[in-house]
Amino acid sequence: MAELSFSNTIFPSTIGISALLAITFAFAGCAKPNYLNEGGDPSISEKPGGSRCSAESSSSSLCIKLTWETFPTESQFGSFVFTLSDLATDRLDLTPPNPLTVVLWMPSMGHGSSPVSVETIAPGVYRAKKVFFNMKGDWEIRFTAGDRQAVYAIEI
Amino acid sequence: MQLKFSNRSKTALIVLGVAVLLLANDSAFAAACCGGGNGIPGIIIGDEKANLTVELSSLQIQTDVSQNSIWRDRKDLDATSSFRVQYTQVFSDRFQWGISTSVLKRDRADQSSTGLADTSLHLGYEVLPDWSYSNWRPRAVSYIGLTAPTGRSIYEAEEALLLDARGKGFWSVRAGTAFSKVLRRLSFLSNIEVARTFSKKLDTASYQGLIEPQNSMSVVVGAGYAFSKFTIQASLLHLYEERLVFSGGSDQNTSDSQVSTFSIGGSTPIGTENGDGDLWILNAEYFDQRIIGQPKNTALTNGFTVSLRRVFSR
Repeated sequence: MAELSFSNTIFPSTIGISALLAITFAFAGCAKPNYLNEGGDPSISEKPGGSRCSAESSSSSLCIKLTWETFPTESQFGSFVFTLSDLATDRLDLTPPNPLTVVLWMPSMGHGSSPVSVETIAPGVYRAKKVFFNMKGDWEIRFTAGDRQAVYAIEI
Repeated sequence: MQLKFSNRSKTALIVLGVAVLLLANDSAFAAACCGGGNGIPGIIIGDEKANLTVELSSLQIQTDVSQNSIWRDRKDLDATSSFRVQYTQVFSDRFQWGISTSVLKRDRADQSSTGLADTSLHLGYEVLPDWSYSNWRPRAVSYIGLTAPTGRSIYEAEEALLLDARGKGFWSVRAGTAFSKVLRRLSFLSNIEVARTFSKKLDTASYQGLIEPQNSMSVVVGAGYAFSKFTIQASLLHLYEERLVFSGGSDQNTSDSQVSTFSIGGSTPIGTENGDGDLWILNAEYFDQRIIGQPKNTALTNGFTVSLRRVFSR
């Protein structure tokens, strides 16, 4: 087996660069996963609103009540039914607003998800279909009813 | 003058070398959102005249990490395959230019979408030529680059599940310097790069207004060890991106993000050099973003890359 030999000038520079990289490695450190729960199972928890409304806008007296029909998974769309009512009187808003849109938005990332379609089930009652959250984390479901807006926060 | 070392010193040196190998490589991936393209571009930092690289890679999103660094594992497939072509050429002795683009195929929930991703160009200058007789001075190439949003962004994606989101969606410029140093069988590589992304006005279903991305920075350190015809290499890329800013003040809750990508792999020449010294090099790497660092506000991926590089000698 050949004898390993190093010149006295190469040796210090090799050690120096190696040490620099080792320090970099030590600084970066191994990842320390902080899972939401043991085993990393998805936890779906709706944020407490402290209100009979799922989402509301006090400035425009808009109350939105939301009920999930199918909660979306990582690979399947979901849907929910929602109503628009007056925040003060709790009366259903029977006049279809124009526009009526539902947008999924991830605030921390600054982007949304695929478009949601909305259909009317009955006066004042609507269904949002093709609901899909393309990442896990904190999301907002943003409702626009005419010139009124409300936001429903949800953690996926 | 030659120094001889004891077996203990040799062992320590080998251990240190192996530790270094666990640090670095010559390609990297950006944050997981939209595929690669923001690591070291195809910089020539060797003796070749030109490089043509074709690269296949496959990655899968494994974990989403929130802005509070909470990890949530994915259960279902969310995979991206890419085919990248990259060409770099030296001109006027110390200048070089390069172009890189790729086609992405995204798969999720039995659906699939394929299309063009972003395209990048660079212009580089060898600021520190190689001094092989120097044991400390590295070779260095400084460069500026431009990324064109030829891939559709997540804001403009229209297909279900956003599978047609294949690019960042913004024009960006970048500047950086890549260093390399070869010490006998050991080689070292590092790169530091800053990027500025330009704002964009959107009028889509999900957002109407001006989005102003801020700056990003990436640092790569890497090392390799050459056997007779086979080189093993490892690298670490750290990418930090400032948060997005939205006009109008209604969306000010974005967060900055960071991710570290660890890669390890090997490369070997295929066949023999032709009369001009040109040759093919096969490179294979495994990369994983879940191993090192403190990721934040990103999706973590792992996967592998296989590339074939045609090296044209000077």
